[in-house]
Amino acid sequence: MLYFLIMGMMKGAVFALAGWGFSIILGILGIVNFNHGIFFVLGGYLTAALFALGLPPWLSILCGSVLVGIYAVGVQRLLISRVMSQSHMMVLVLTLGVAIVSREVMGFFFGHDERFLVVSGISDRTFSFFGYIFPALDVIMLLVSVSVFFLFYYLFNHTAAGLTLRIIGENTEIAKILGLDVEGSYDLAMFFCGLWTAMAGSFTVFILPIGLHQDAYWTIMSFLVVIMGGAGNLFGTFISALIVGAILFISSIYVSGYSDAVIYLLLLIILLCKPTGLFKSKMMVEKRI
Amino acid sequence: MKANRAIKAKGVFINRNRYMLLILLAGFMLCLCPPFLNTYQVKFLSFLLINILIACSWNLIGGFCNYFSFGHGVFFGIGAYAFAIAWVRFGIYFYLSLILGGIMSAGVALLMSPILRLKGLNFALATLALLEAVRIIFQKWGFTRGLKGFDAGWKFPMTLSDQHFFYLIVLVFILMQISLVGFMASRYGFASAAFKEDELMARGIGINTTVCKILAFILSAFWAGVTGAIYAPMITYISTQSIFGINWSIKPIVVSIFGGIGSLLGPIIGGIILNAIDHFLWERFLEYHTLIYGILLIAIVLFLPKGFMDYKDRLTRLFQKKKPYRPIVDLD
Amino acid sequence: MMLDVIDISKSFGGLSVLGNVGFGLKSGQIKGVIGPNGAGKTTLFNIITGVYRPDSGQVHLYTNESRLSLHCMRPHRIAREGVGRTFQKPSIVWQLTVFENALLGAMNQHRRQPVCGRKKLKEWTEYCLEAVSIDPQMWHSEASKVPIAVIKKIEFARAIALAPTLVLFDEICSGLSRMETDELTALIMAYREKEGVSVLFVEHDLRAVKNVCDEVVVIDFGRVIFDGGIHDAFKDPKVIEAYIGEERA
Repeated sequence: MLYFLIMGMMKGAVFALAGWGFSIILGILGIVNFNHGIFFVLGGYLTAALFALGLPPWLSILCGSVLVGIYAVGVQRLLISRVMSQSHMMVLVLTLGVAIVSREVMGFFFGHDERFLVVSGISDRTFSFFGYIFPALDVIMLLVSVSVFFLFYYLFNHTAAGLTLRIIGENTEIAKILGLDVEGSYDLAMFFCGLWTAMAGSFTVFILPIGLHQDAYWTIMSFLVVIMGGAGNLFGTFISALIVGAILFISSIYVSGYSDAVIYLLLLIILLCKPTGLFKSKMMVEKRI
Repeated sequence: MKANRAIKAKGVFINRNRYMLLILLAGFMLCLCPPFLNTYQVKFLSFLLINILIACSWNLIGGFCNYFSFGHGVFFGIGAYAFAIAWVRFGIYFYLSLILGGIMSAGVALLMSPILRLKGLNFALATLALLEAVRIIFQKWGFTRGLKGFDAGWKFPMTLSDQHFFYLIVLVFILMQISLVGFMASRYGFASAAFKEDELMARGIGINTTVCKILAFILSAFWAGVTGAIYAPMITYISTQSIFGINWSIKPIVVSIFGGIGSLLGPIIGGIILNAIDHFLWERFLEYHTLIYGILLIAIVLFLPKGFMDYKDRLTRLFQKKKPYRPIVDLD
Repeated sequence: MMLDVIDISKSFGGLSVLGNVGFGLKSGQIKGVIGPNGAGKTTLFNIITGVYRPDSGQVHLYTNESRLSLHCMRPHRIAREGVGRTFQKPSIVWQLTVFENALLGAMNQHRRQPVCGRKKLKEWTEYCLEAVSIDPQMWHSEASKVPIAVIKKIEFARAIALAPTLVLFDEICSGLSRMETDELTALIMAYREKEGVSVLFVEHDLRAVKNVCDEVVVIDFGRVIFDGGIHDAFKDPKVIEAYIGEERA
């Protein structure tokens, strides 16, 4: 049982990686980005494409993620910024449209097959701790998530840009009066959101097959871990992701087939009982939502 | 305490009686059509009306009350499945099964009414979660899967002719509009204008927002359910993939926003125009159909967020500088 | 006694907004609630009307039949029991007409004096609109096209359409010129004379407060520093200090 728990938590690390970007965007821009899952899937597809071109895995992941970051900024600059001043519901609908368009364009460009990469020497490696066997890729994913968490934490809390973002998240008007570059910060936040989420997708493409139509799933999962952990609370998102991973894994063993339903019901229960999340919501998200 | 309130449609003042007359006239003319149209066209109109019906039901909770439900298709699907189970499994009378479909959906809405406590974005995602959860459960649970436990859907024998279904749908359309108008003209509909603006203010002036919201939600779910219940035997085969697809939830939103949220005519006009475009795309550009749909969605949000009705209204106001002012509320 | 505010405390997060606030309001009295900005006056109103629950303390409303504990009731119930209110930020429905906005109040009146039936509702709303002297020609204009003085009057009319026994005015004179303020205060006093309602009047315009109120309660930093006659208030050293500051030698 403990093994299942730990395995599940490891598998949950990917949700954290995918969710942090969503958390920042929700906390600072105050918008729900339905396009989020596309970052994930696009990251996976670009990585696969670059890998097929011959780049080593780590470089494909990096380049793929950066490209998706640029895409994210593009969407923000061109489309979302125009609608943000209106209601947030409209942004939701807009990003839905962007997701649909992106999905179709990706389909034309890449074809509709799923992507799954195998790297000899790593894909089938396993580590064993105390007699338990863990797939190497999952362990790497966990380590990457943890490192990204610390990186995020550092960037967010100990840099000038991070401070700017936090100020904007607290009170946008004051930020503008102070002369802070609000638009630029939004772009920066979107860039990193796209980057990290794509990184999650890029790593996942080595672990699971990724299909074009999975973006909705990843969007909802990101939303789940962010809401559970408290919007804007990076640590909360991390813990929630581990919990969700564990629940998914264990329920897929005991009530196989319904495991996704369990997660959606969990989301419903959380929204009904504690919409601010299990942990404290770091930013003034209540004002926006 | 009814007020013969004219129902404001984003600047277009439509008197309640005039609107009902319009609807009845449209219904009458629709009923005259089938003898002159071939089966394909009748089917097309039926599908068009189904889309409009769902959009109108969404508009009640999404447009008039500002609670954007992103999983409204769940009520459509529950209606279809409730009908299937009632008619095929239990052999309940056909028309009663249709109504049962609506009642089941309304029942689920009542059960889920606590989600109306949530604010905008959270509510949207909650409805989406509900849709997905119900889809997966219906897919796996033997009782709802199909007649025999290993079926993947429900199969219906051919019952009524296409024309008969068409008349049925027109009837449901008229009934639905009557109920919508009745609701909007009642104190609850009137109150919805207030709490759509500011819920705290509405509660401060004595409006029981909880009751208003729940009533709107149940009514909206009921009609979506009835629509689903009619749709099922019409296409003779339903499965969770087809009925609980996300398209049934997104399309009514697009249609309503395009036509004009918060107006009674909005979803109807939006439905007609968008379905015409959709049909055109389907015939000529099948491959790019979804892509163009997505682009349309983006364009609508960017350029026409208040909807077509508002645009039309702005145009007419441009040409009609002077309009003799008619009092809107006429309590006599 | 009409309204009893007993020992109300409220804090948000770590910030204490109200501390041990208590005062009484007699039947038919107009009592001002004044104090520097941020003293917690709107929060007090929100607690009385049930929008917030106080952390401690009670609010009691005395009607003809019974004593109601407002601190446990929900906002719409409190409104139905005869507590009308205007809002600091103009909160009317912009898309409806002036008449329809007032009708909103009329439709949700005090449950013991129902005005039923279309005709009576219409007459009652017209009566309320006349009582606040809104020009009948404006009654069917869209609310977004109407000047601010009329908007304030709409809120007033909507509040009295509830047939209340207690009315709370939250800075209703803000944004109005001196003439408009005088007109509004005269209307409030006339309304009190006619219907005998009790009024709590939050205002920053001290001249208006002096004209209208019999008594006044002064709140500073969430605490009551004075509760008594209007003329004694401005001689009280604590009030002067709160508004102007200590005199430096």
